[in-house]
Amino acid sequence: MTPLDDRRPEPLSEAAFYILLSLASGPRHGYAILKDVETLSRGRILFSTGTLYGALKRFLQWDWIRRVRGRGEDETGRPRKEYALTAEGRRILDAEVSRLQSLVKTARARTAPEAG
Amino acid sequence: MTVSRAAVRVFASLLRLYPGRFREEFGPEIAEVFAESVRQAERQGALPALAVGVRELVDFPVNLIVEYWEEMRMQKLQLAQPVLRPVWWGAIGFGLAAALAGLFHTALYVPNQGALEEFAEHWRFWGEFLAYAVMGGLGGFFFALVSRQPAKAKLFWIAGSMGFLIGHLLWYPVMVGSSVALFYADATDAVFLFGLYFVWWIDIALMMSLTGLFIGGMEKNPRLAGKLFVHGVLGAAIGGILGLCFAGLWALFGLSVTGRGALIFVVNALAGIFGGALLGRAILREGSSRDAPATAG
Repeated sequence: MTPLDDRRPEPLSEAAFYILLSLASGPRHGYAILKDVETLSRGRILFSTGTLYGALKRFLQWDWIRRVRGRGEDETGRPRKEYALTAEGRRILDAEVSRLQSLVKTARARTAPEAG
Repeated sequence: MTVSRAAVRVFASLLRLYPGRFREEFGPEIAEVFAESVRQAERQGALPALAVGVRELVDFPVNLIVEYWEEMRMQKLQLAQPVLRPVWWGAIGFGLAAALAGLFHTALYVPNQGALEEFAEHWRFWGEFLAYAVMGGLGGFFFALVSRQPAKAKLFWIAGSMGFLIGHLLWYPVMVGSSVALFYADATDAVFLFGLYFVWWIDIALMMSLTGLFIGGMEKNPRLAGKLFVHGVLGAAIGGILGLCFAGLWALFGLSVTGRGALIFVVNALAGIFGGALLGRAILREGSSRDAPATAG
């Protein structure tokens, strides 16, 4: 699928990065993502539900994530929707991790005592 | 009902303000996740639960704007049916009608207006109601024509007229009572201004919601009538909040309440614009959902 809206942020925002990172270990439903991002960011990033689902909507449009049928059921008895990384989403996440590693490497090289 | 359950219900109602596609796709999930967040936070105490609610409320207006902006961009990208058009036309039609009715109303009560004085003297009371009925009708007629629903022109004309006229009639005792109360309470300028503002907002909220009620009633669709009634009030509320900011600035800069004509104009216009926009949107969505000739028109 070619996404209509191709305005993808580069580099990823911190919030987007944590959402993708949260899904790296497997599919999760909305609340699980919310709590996982809070844990991963050590409480720094606290999403409101509207913000989270706004981001999920865009990731779906960009084909970074896809919906999968969850294991549990919601309050109405319908299967819970979960979100999983697509191959494109994993590629974006890996690229961002590489970019961050490169940044850290450069910074370390410059700020290490012997570089001084 | 516990406070948290009430908060969840209020939040579920707020979700109705999101653009239709977003709401349909994610609304139930968002409501469920919010309920779960509140439940979990409540186990840690009232304060964390409150924090969840505050976070949602603070982010809500921004998310709303972002989603509407995205919706508009997607509309352009898809070159789809211009879904937003009736929203704008509803806003312009009913907003302009409300603003002009308010302006005419104010003009009738401005003293020393020369040639108009005698006319105003005789026609002040009836002229006021006539102005609201005519403006409401014109607003509805305009909306029907420009949103490509000519078959509904008569219906919207009558609904607009009746909504504006009866809304304004129902508002009259509210206005008289409030004015007397404000006068005898010896209110300060600022209190008087805000009181006046609120009273005028009630006028528009009544007119917009009753217009919606009449549209649904004339369509013999009670569910649509209820929906449009709520949309009329909600739209007027959004415009009213913006108007409140304006009134705050007005008071902040110490502008005199004698310039209240301008304030009434702004309140009427804003509440009418947003009320009309939501009415237009709800009418369009109703038409789309049953593929009525009204929207295909």
